[in-house]
Amino acid sequence: MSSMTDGANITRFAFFPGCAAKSVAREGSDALRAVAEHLQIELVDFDDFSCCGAGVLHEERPNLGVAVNARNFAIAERQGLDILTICNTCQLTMLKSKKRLDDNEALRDRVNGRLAEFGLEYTGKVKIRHLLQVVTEDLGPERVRQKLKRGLDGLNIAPFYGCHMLRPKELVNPDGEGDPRTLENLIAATGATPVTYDSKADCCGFHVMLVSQQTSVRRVRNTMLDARESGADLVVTPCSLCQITLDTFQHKAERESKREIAMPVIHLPQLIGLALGLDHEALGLPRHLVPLPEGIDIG
Amino acid sequence: MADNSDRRRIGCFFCRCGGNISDVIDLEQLQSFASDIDDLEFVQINSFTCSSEGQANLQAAIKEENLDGVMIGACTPRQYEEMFRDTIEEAGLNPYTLEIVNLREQCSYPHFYEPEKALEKAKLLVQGAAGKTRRLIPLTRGSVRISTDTAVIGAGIAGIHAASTLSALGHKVHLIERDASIGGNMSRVVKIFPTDDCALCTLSPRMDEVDKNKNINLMTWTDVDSIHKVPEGIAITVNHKPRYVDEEACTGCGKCTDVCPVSIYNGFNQGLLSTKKAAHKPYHAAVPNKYLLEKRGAPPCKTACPVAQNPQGYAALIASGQYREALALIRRDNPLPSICGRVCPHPCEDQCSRQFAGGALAIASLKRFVMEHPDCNSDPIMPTVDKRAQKVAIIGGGPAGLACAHDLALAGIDVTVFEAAAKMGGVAAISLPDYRLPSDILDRDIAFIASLGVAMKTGVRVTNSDLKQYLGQYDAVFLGVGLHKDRVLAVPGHDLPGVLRGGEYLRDIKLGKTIPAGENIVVIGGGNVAMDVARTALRSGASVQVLCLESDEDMPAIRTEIDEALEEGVLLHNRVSPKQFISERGRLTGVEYVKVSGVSTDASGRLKAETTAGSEAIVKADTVIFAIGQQADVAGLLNGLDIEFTATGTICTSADTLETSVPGLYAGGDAVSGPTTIVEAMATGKRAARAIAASIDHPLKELDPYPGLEDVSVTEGWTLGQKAGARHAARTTVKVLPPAERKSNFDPVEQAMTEAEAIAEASRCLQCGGCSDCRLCEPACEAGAIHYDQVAEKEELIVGGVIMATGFKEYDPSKLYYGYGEYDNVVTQYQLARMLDPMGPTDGQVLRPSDGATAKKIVMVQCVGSRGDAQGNSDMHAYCSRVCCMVAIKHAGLIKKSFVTDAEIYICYIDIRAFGKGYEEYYERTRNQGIHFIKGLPAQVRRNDDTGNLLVTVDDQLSGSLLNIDADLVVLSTAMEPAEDVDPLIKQLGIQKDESGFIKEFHLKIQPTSTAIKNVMVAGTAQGAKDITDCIAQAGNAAATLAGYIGNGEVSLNPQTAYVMVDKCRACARCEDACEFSAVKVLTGSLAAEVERTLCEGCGKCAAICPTGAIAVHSAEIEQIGSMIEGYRSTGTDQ
Repeated sequence: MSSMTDGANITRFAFFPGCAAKSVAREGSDALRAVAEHLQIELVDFDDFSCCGAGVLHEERPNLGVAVNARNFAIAERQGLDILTICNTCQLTMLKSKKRLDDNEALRDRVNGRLAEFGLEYTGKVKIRHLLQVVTEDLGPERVRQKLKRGLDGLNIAPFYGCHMLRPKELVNPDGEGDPRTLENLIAATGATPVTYDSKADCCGFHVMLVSQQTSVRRVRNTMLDARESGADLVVTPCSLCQITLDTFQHKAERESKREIAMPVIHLPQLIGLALGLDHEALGLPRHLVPLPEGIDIG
Repeated sequence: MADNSDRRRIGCFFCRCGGNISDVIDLEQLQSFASDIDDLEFVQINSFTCSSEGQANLQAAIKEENLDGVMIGACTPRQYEEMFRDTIEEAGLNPYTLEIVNLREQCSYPHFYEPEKALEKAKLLVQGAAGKTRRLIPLTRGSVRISTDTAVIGAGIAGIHAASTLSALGHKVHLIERDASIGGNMSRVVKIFPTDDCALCTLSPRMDEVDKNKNINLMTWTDVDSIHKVPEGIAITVNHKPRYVDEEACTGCGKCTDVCPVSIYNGFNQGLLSTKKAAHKPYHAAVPNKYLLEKRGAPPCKTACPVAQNPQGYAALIASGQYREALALIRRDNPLPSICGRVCPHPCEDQCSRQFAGGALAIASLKRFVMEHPDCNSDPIMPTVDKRAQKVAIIGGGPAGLACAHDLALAGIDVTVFEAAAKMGGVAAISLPDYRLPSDILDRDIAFIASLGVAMKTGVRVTNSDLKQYLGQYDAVFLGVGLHKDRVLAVPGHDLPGVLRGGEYLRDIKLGKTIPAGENIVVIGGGNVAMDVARTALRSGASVQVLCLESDEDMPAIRTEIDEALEEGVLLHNRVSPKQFISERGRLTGVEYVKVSGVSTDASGRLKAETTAGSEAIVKADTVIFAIGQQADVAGLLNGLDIEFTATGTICTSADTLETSVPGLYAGGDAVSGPTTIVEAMATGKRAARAIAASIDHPLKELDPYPGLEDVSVTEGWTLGQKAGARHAARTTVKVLPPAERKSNFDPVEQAMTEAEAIAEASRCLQCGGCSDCRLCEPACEAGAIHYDQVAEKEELIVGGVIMATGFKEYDPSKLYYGYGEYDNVVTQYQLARMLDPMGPTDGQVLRPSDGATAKKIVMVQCVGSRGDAQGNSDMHAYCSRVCCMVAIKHAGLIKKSFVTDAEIYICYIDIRAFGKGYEEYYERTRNQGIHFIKGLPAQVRRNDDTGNLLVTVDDQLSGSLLNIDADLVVLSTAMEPAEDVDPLIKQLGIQKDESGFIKEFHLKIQPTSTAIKNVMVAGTAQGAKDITDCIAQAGNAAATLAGYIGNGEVSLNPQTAYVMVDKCRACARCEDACEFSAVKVLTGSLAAEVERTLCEGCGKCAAICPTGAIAVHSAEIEQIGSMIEGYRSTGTDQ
């Protein structure tokens, strides 16, 4: 552990990056690894974690969808770890599966029957945590502020939550308010100014992409133009899928709206990394298609 | 070089190209330059590197110098790159460690006059290529299985020959032709040069062969919807257009043509004025020998008709004298055609395609002609009816009820009609004055409906309890009770004696009652009833004035009714409203009225007048008759039934089925829609009949005669008319009794057409829908092959390769100054060819189209649309069309020899090009026949309007004299240009067009039938203008080349394709959008781009557009390109 930590309680997590942050958006997990020690967390990797099913598997084969997650849970439980993810959809899918397992004893027994063949058992102890919760609930914005090497003063940053962070409320956000503020608080803690705009809790468009690319692109267009017109310099999101959609398909949104948008979209751990003064390379920022604007002195 | 690890021993070979390169570039200097380049181990100059000797030198050097990379400075890589790859592979090198420097097309050719610059450029390219060659990465050729089936698109002579050849080489062939017959342009040219053989005698056996060949799947009347590369080869979606004739069943007997009454424009004769039947085959020798019905869509008259009658059909039948058939056709859709022939407002005529060429067809009068023709009344064709058990009651024997009864009876359903009046017919029977519709005319329609088995009970007023009983007794009940309660305006004095109601008035007159009529009658209203009342009142000898709320042009009455009323002496006051009726001692003496400044509609839909104060005036009147509309009177009848009414008191029904809120009770006609026309009321009756039949599980047999076809629009119809040479022909004016002869009696005003008039008028129909849906051919076809409801069918084919043999079309010379399209006697060589056809439109005579006289003095004009640069005309193509000289020589010789032996023929030319084997001799023979060859093209062509002759002014450059030729006929030798609608296929395939629009060959000289895509060939005039001999030679070559490529289906894969570095890919899909070959897909599963190697052509667009550098092309890696650029810069002297 580096000297940056205050030596106090390091929390170990079973890291569940999700498929996107393992491939196309791997800079999200790279950035998390770069900032983990500063956040007093240690990431434990499990090569044998499977895909969460992303809701798609559950539509086709609901019980199989639950079972693959139970297997991941059991793997984490075996090490006595809670799961940490940086993907909203992974978090929702895992929470849904966990609720079904916890609510339905018969199903749990059936699943455990299969898991026993691999020497695994799901007990229900495991907690599913998203990075945003860990940072805002366990650590708290004030502690983040104390750790900053340099502030992001002068930057206007728009928060974009991603819908699976907020909806369905009873599952992912049971104690949350109608108007979430956690990201804003975190942005403020970095010294930047959180931007107020209408689209912060909208859908990014990822999950409709296969059904209607046009709808998806219009979602990107609306959100990004809203952020642009509200004075944002960049957008931060806690979800890998939202980041991919808003960054990668922004060029299509520009073509659709015939307007330049050029709105950088960064992952939550990248925001923290920038505030900690880590360099862009270490945070994987050059992988983004919309670059951070030149002339803004960050990182 | 410090770094030896990637050091490659590269040999560099410069080619003199027999002087093509070495005459311009000092190769010794280039050699010494190259020898100084670190990357190059060995530099050699050869005379012909491509020759066996050159290749052997190259292979020897590879071995002796132990080379592992080769650079060749020679001609374009398009020419021999593939061959050189094999050469070095034979010598043991990887074929992809080769780099070509294009010293010829890029250096010595373009810089022929500046050898210094050529050398400088060559040095630069050599330096760049050296760096790239060092970085070349060995690649492995893969292989893939493709289909061994093939397709040929276009079945002209090239396509036919290509298909035969492919079949002979063992490949299955789909031969796809968009026309109904194969044969293409060659089938129209009659004779072929230089032998004067009959074109069809030459072509027919070839056509027959592909038709019978089991290995050839011939598809005619079939479009290519889409075509694109797939891993298995090429996927083609074809669209089989409907012939409306079962191709299997059709025996080619032609009986459908014999009975078809429709003549339409015949496109086969290249725009020459000629017609064909809608049921036809394209030409006498067509292959396959199958007929088709040419349907364009529903004609506008049919679309406009509320009961969807088919005026095009009965016009065609009248024109051909088939009146009984016309009547049967009319009765198919119209239950009361006799009425419609007389009183219909004929919305069909408002939409007629003929309206811009002499006025709309007189459709209503034509129908009346048929209805009243003796043949049709003595012996009508009766429909056959299968009786059913279901029973329907119809209340009200007006147009709606009778129409409903008619259609149900035709379906075999037992129908009883209850009519309160003493006579069936509703308003038509009891209100329409005899001068519009005599009773005996109506009786014919009613008798016909009765003859279908409809029970008619007149004088029966159905009561509320009857109705409730019928609802239980019958399977359905239809209400068509009409509007019979006259509206009145509650102005002061409206209850005076002498104030009458129009509906009642007309009924009483029709029943022969004597009405105390005054001398000064005022009619209030502006609709058809008001006109009927006014004109009826006039016939009682009174003076009649009409007070009407609307302006003249806004009056709801039919225009002719208003005009005829005015002619008869009715006085009309527009935009006025009665204020009060004035009386003296209880007797009506006048009407005070007031001017109207505006009219609005109140909540219930009634008109409300805003009046101008102080504008009051008085007319004398002893009788006032209200004709301001009628309303339903059904409250008693429907008492206790759960029926809803509108604000205006009409019955609410479902718009679709006309069923009321009471199940089984339907309603139609004016009682539902408010006041409309007879034909609109009939339409509701028919609609209800359809719904009733469906509800009692016996849907009416209905045939959609235009399945999947759009309506023909009026403007489209007119364009067709123009093309067909539709001459301006004025509408036949139907005779009308003069006002003086008619205003004192009830004799019919409008007279029937005579037979001659009817035939002439019916012949004016443009037949704009093509097939008129008269359905005469169905019974005529003994093979049972006619299917009016055929629809287009799509089919997907997967083939290993395609030959594009899409042919040419004729250049349109109307934009030039030769008078084409303006003067009838200016034609094209293709049109002249049609005249020379003994079975063509002129039966093999050379005639002036303007008057049909034999053309004796003929001027032919060459290069019309070709060689535009030589003529300084940018409206023409730059290229030479190659065949036109020979076509003109052929036609001139043939005319002189066999057609018009005393003809005087001039051929005006720029150069005569008799290039082929035997062509020069043919030219010489024709010259000796006395044809005049004039070097020079006409400056202008003018018409002498008196004689129709054409004055051609041409400067004869050989004699230096200006000639003025007074010609009968001017024949333009028009250019060939690419056929229409081929561009989408070219684009989808990813092949290229040349600057003239023809399909671009891979290499003009040595691969003239290949394209940029290995399994796509081009043959015939699709590639450029050429004659039949060359088409066949090229088609054979295309077939052989394609068969050689496909072989047994195992083909090698070009390894110079794109590949993805997954860790850099952000899945943005820019590459997917950029790829013209659909070779790159961003799979959402793996969230990264993937390249389908079998589809990738290695063009590199994806690599250029990728924002993260995640996609690259083998042999065009960024390092390789970079080192080339680095090389160019390092030589950077004065470049």
